[in-house]
Formats: sequence, C-alpha cells, structure tokens
Amino acid sequence: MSDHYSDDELLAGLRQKDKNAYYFDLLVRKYQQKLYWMIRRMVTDHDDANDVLQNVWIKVFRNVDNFKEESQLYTWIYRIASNETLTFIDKEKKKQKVRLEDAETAVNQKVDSGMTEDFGDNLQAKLLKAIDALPEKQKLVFQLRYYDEMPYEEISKVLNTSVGALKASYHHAAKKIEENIINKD
Amino acid sequence: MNISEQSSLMNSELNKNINHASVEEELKEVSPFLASHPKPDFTKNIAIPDGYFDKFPIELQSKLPKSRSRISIFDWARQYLLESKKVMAVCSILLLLSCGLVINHHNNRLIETTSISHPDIWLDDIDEDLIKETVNQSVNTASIKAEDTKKENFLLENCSEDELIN
Repeated sequence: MSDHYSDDELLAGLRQKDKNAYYFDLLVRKYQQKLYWMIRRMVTDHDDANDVLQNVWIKVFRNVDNFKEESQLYTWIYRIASNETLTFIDKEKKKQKVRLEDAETAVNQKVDSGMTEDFGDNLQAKLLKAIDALPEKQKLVFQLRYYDEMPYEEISKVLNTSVGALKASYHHAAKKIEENIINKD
Repeated sequence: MNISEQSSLMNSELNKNINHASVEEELKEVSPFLASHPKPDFTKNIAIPDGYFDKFPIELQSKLPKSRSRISIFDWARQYLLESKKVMAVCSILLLLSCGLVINHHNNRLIETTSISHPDIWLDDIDEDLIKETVNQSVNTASIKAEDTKKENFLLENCSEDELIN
C-alpha cells in the first residue's frame, strides 16, 4: 500500500502534525526492506542490522522537518543509513571484537552462519566472502551499485563523494573480487 | 490511479530499465567474470526472523520520540552555526582586515615619530646648557666606571680568595 504513495506525497503527509505518524509508518514500510538488506550486507548479523535500522528511522523521524529537499527523499534516507552503518562498524572495530588476524575467519563464519541453506553453487559463497572482505566504504559503494543499481549521481549524494572517485572505487572493487575468487580456485 | 500518476510510474520504470542496462554494460567492461555469473541473492539465503518486516514498523513506533518538535540545545546550536557559517566567514575576513589596518596605522605612526632627518633639526632651538649637562653626566659616568674597574683589579691582584669571599 505504501508503494502507491510517491515520496513527495509521503513528505507532505509527514509534515502535517495530525497525520505524521500514519505517513511515517507508510514511509517505513516502503523502504524498510531495501534499507535492511543494504545494512545487513554490511554488518552481516541480523540483530546488529536491526539496531542500525531502528537508529536510522529514529533519525529520519527526528530530522524530517529539517530536510531541505536538495536531493530525493530516499537518497537522504539512504545517506542516513550509510552513515549509521559505517559509524556502527567503526564502533565495533574500536571495541576490538575481532582481532585483525582473525578478521577473515570471523567474516567467513558470519557469512556461513547467516545462510539458511548451502549455496548450490559454491561460487556464490566465494563471491559473498570476497565482497565482505572489501574495505567498508568500498564495500558500500560496490553494494549500492552492484545490488541496488543506484546511479552514480545518487551514490555521490549518499556518500558525499565525487562521481569519478566512486567509479574508480567500484571498478577497483570488481577487479579485486574477481582476482580473489579466481586465485582461490 | 490517474493519468499523471501512471505516466510518472512508467517514467520511473523506464529509468530503472535504462539504469539496469547501463549497470550491466559497465560490469561487462570492468569484470566479464562477474558479469557472467548471477548475483548472489541475499534475500533467499540469509536467515531473518519470521514476519520481521510486518512487526518492525510496530516495534519502531514505541521507540520514536514523543515530540518531533523538541530539539536539543546542541542540535539547535549546531544548526545555527551551520547556517551562519557564511556570516562568520565574512566577519572573520573583515576582522582580519581591520586588524591589519590598525597594525599598519600604528607602525606608520611609530615611523613618523622616530624618524628625524638633519634638515628637521633646528640647532638654534637646542639649549646649550642642556648639552653641557648631558656631556658632563656621561663623562662622570665613564670616570666612575673606570674607577670601579681600577678598584676591582687592585683587589684581585692583592687579596686572597678567602679575603675576597669574606
């Protein structure tokens, strides 16, 4: 039902005092899955993804009145989600939950534990692990382009990075993943 | 759905398809290997609790702040500073310019007061008695210093170390 409303309609509804809860619920239902999977691909754990997603929506709710419409609404929401995800990952690193030398093992364990079934094609598991091994910001660029097929101009607004830098980052990431998979075969 | 909404939806779908084609094309150029394999489908192979997306919006409502209109003093200050960045930048430049002008003016005044050229001195205006007094004072000072030096030398040559200390 929420997909029937455009972002402009949802934004207008959010700014009405008496109906903002209703329109906010519609906005959440419209984008929750996309945001969840974007976050989940980065943090790999459901509980962590859930926490980050909640924080994202709370920030959206608090700041929607300050949204200046310089970009699309969903670009703005994605930007909040990216910042919250990267902040969360930085905090986790600082907590030193995972020592650097064990990082690859932990990443592989996390990816495996999240699977409901074995991939029929082992290559798919290798691909996921290779993506997960990328540096955080590069991984985010790669995922926004590869999975969400977001145009570079929008990714530029989400991550506040130039289009040229994003293209270079994405191309470099794709090559790295390819080398990673081919070398492990 | 009215005609404009349908048209908007069709445009959106068209843009999506164009974008999908360009992403595929780009991937073929950058990594033919990745382009030749299907994308791993996260949604099918990653475990999430049953009914998660139905329950999430309801659980979220209980965690939202009561009032959206209240913002913290910190948020207000940050917003005010961000908006007044340009004003602050202009004020900083004006302040620097003013300081520069004041320092420059002060330096010019110092130069004016201290620089005296010969043609500016009117020797007739100088009091001769004052000159004599000044010269006598400097001579006396020099002679006192010379006497002190003589006394020091005498003491060093003729007294022992213990006598000097005591």
